[in-house]
Amino acid sequence: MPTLIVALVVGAVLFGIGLYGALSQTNLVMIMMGVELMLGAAMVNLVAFWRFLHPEVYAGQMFVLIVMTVMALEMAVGFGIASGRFRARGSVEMEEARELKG
Amino acid sequence: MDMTHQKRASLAAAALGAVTALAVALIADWGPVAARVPEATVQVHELGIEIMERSMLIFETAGVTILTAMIAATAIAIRRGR
Repeated sequence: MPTLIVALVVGAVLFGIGLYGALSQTNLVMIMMGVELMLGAAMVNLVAFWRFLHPEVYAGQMFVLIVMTVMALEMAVGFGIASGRFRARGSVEMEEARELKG
Repeated sequence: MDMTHQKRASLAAAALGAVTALAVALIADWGPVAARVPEATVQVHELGIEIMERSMLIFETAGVTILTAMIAATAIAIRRGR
């Protein structure tokens, strides 16, 4: 049991760091890094659940693959938006992106 | 140069999220832990079977979604000739 707990604690801490990064950073790239950390925490938890609770059910690993896909998508679209905005405005600081506010 | 904003609220939210996750991890009864896992070759084989049989639709959907996102990201990022 302790090894499962260790993985879950690492996941929780990673999630907290990622949440802080996503909420506090003003640079778009750093915000995306925070989201990536949160998704990484989810992946750590999923792998731990698969390894320690149900190693015979491979849907857990499939779920990890899907999360990895989401990470790649987020990075691709996020960097596309970042490079487009940098080209248009010369900055990816989200403090200057008031017009995106709903 | 400080590149952060709403630092205290972010710290509070992050601490709340982490503490909640930690509490769930530590308090919940996770049941019996598997002592060992199948060998690596068996894992790869079983994962392949999972991807190509039961989760085929999910896998195909993920592939098409990635392709769409790649095209969208390229379309956003390319310089427009104006």
